[in-house]
Amino acid sequence: MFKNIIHNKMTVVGFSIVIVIVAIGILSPFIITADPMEMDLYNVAAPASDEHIWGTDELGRDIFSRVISGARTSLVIAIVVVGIGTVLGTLIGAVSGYLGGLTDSLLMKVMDILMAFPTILLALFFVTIFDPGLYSAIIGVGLSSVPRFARLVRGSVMSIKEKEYVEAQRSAGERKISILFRHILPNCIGPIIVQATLTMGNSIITVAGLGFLGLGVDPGVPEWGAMLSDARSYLASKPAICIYPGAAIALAVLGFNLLGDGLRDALDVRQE
Amino acid sequence: MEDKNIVLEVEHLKTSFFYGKKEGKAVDDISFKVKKGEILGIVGESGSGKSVTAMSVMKLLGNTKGRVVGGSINFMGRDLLAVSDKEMRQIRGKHIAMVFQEPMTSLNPVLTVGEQIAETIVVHEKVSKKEALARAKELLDTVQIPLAEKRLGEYPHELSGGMRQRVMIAMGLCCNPDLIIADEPTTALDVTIQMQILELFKKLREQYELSIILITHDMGVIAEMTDRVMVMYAGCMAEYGDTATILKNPRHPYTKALMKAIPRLDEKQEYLDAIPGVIPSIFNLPEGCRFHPRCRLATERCRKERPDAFTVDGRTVCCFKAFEEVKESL
Repeated sequence: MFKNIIHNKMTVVGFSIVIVIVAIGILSPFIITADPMEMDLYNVAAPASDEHIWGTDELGRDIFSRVISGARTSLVIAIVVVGIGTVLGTLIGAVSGYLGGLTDSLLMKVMDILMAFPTILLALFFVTIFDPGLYSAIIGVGLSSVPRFARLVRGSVMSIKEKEYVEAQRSAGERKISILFRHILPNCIGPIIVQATLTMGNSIITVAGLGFLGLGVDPGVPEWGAMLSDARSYLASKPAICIYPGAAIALAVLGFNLLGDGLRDALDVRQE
Repeated sequence: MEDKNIVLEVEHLKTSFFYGKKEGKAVDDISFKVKKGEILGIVGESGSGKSVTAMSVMKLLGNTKGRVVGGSINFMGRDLLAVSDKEMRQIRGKHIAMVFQEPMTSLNPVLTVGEQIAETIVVHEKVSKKEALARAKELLDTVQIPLAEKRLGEYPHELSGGMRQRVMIAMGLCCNPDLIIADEPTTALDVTIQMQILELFKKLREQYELSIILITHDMGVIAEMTDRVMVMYAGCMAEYGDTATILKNPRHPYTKALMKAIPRLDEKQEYLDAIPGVIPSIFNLPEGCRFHPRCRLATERCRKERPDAFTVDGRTVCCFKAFEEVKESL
């Protein structure tokens, strides 16, 4: 399997991008050259210089440091979103697929209803009914990724529960719950990993989108979407302020998507 | 009078599959007994209800549209149709074990052989994982897998087909069951491995006084292995009795036809004597005797009435013709 991944050059590119971004996210305090929150109103929208290698933004903050710090914010958000989606989605999908019947119909109807709303709308809904802020946004985006996981896992579970080794476990007197969690779910892990990786990319975009609408992080906190939003009025005169966070979003999403596609190709081809 | 030696007694078992209002009688009125240390063979074409009979005994039809609709299954004095799901779970694996046809797909690809065997032990007995693994190693020795210690840590894809079937048998044996139901255990294996596995079954039977139900469609296996045999056709019993008697002198036209369809080494044959036609679908069974459309001896009566089980000299035959012949000879 590892060989398959290495074979595909685009996957290697995606994997490298993801590794770099994760490394930056972890090590960001050591990389930044200035405090990303500190304003310098005498030096707004300055071009690149020795002191500020990517220049400063509309409030005189160091763009390089803000983009680097933003990696951590975006990654943490994406990981939490994917965590919510994976855990809830897998549970719902597994129960639904394994039990079938009425339980299955009911759970899947709920999932269909959730799926009917666009991610950003659902996130807006949560931001509106709870207090506007990062947590509501994360929950909203996370929940809207649940149906996809649930559908996926349900399908896998349904096909794997018919396998002979599951029947063999049943004939050995194994309990339903341990058949599901010990014998069926580990065999569905491939598609779950792929979906999780692809969702990482999507949720970075969605959260950036929410930040752009001013519904994500608190003002001032370095977050790519919010940075883009704040700088958009300077797009014509000082495009640099927008370009760096924009490029960061594009690169991160590209990395996760390439990795996800590669993993799908490597994992989906059933080894048998 | 209950015979202590009888491990399993199935009486008038009827199992049907339901699709909407359609009822498919997959097993219709089957009775048989398995004594301690005895090997019972169940033989028949594909679709004759052999596996469904096994699944009914194991009560594993829950996930299908099938259901036992009549009869009784008595296992060591307990009515299996009456026990709760929880009790049944304890019986499965501990008292009745099952070995499946496809050793290639009967093992979970993501768990090691040792883990899988140990798990079955842990489910049924209060032992630590470590003890269970030690037992697993002994079991692999019992089923004659070389380098058992090493094999324990291997994944199913690292084993050959014959080896996997041995692992399956080891899993079946792990709680010293009273009965093993082997559903075509050698069909997927090549002939030399087949023989080894069958020899293993024989040895285990002697060693542990195991009762075995051997499901197969291979008359050679039946002749080689079993003490008693039940020939099934379209969910019905055709003939049931001592293997030697039945093979030497089959009474039911279906058994006779089956015997004729076996290629012989001692005679020159241009063509194999195949049985004309195919087995009927369970949703579209013929009236009367289910074998009549393919039977050379069928009469008007066979088309209308279903023959009762008729027992003579400890052998049961479901055929009017067999009855007539015997009557003549009396």
